[in-house]
Amino acid sequence: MKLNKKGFVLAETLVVAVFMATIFTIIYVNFYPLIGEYEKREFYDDLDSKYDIYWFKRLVQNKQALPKDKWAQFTGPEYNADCDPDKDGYCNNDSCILRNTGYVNLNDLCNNLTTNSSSGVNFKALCNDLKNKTELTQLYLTTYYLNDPAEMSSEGGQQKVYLNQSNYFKDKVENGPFDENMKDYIFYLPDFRYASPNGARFRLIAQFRRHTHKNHTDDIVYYSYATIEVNREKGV
Amino acid sequence: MKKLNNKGMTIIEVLVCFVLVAIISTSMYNSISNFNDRRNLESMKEKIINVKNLFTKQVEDDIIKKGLVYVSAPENLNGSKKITASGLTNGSCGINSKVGSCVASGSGKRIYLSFKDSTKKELIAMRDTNGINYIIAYGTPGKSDYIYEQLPNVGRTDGVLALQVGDIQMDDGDGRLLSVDIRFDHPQLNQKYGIKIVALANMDSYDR
Repeated sequence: MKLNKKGFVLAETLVVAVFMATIFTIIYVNFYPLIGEYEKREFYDDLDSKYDIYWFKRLVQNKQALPKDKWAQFTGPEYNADCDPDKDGYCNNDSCILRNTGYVNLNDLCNNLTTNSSSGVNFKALCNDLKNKTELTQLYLTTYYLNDPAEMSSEGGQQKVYLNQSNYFKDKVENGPFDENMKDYIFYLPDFRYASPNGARFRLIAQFRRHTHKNHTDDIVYYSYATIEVNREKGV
Repeated sequence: MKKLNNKGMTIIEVLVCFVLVAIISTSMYNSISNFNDRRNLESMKEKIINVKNLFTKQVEDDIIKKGLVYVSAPENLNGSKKITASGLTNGSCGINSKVGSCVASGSGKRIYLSFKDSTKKELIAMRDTNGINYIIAYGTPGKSDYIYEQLPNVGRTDGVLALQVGDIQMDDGDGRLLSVDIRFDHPQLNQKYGIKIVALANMDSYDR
C-alpha cells in the first residue's frame, strides 16, 4: 500500500505558526508606537509656532526693546566688542545666568523690555500683547549648540565651546524644572553640531498653548513647540 | 474495483475552512475599518492644512520681507473686532487676464495691511454667491498677486458642509500688532486647524 507522504506533520505546522507569530509581534511592537510619536510631533516646529517664535526673536534681538545691560545679564557682562568669544570664552562672570544654569528662563521677558524707548514704543506692552495673542507659555534662551561641542567631531569649522565648563542645555534638562512634554521636545531637537551660517550664538525655545475649541466647554488644550536661532551683534 | 477518486475536500473540511476565514475576517474588520477612517481623516487634514499654510505663509512672508507698517481696522464691525461666521457676506472671486480679485456685498469682512513699499493688501473672508462655501482671499485687488481659495470640500455631516468657518477674529492692535484668527471647524478635527497669524508692525524701523 502506497502511503501519502505529502503535507506537513502537526509539529512542523506548529513551529512555523509560532515563528510567524513572533515575527509579526516584533514588527507590531516596533511600529505601533510610531503612530503616537507622529501625533506628538505634529505640533513640533509647525508653521504657526515658527512664525510666532520669530516675533519673539525680533524683540530679543532688538536693541531698543532689550537694551545691552539686560542682554548682558542673560549672557555675560563682558559681551562687548573687546571680547572674542572664540578666544576668551563667552561668559566669564559667575553672575551670568546662562553660564550658571545653561539656559535663561524668559517667561518674564516682557518685564525686561523698555517701556519708553527712543522711538516712543512701549515694548513691554507690545510684548505682553504678543504673548497673549500667541499664548506663549514657556520661553527659554540657550546657546546655539544644545550639547557640548567638545564631544562632537571637528568637521565643518566647528566653533569652540562658549562656556568654560560643560553647561549646555541638554545636560540641564533631565533634572531641570521642565515638564515632560517640554523635555520630549528638547530631546527631540538635534544638537546643532555645526556653526550657524548666520553666526547665531543663541537659540530660543518656546512652548505655545493651542485649543481644539477655544472658549468652549469642549475645549482640550494642547501645546506646540518651536525653536529659532538668535543673533545679536557683538558689541551691542 | 475501480480506483476511488481521492482528490478534493470533504464537506466538513470546506465548512471548517469557511468558519475559520469568517472568524479571521470579522476580527480584522475593525482594524481595517479604523485604518480606512484614519486614512480619510488624514487626507482631509492634508487638504485643510494646505489651505491654512498657503495663506499663513503668504501673509507672514509679506510682513517679514516687505515690512508691515500699519494694520487698518476691520470694517463694518460696529466697534467690535470679532466676527462670527454667520456675519460673513456673500461674494464672488474671479481671475481675469491673470489678475484676481474678490467682490463681496457690503465690504465683506476684511483687514488691510500696509507695507513699507507703499503697497496695501487685503485679507478677506466671505462666502460664495450662494452663501454656502467659504472663501479666503489675500492680495492686492486687481493685481496678479491676488490669491483666493474656497475651503476644501471634505464631505458633509448631517447634510451640511463638514468644514465650516467657526469664528473669525481680526484685530489691528491699534495699528501695532496684527492678529488674525480664522478658525476652521470640523466634527473630527475640531478647531485645531485654522489661519492664525500674529505679527508686529514697524519692527524694521525699531531695529535701527
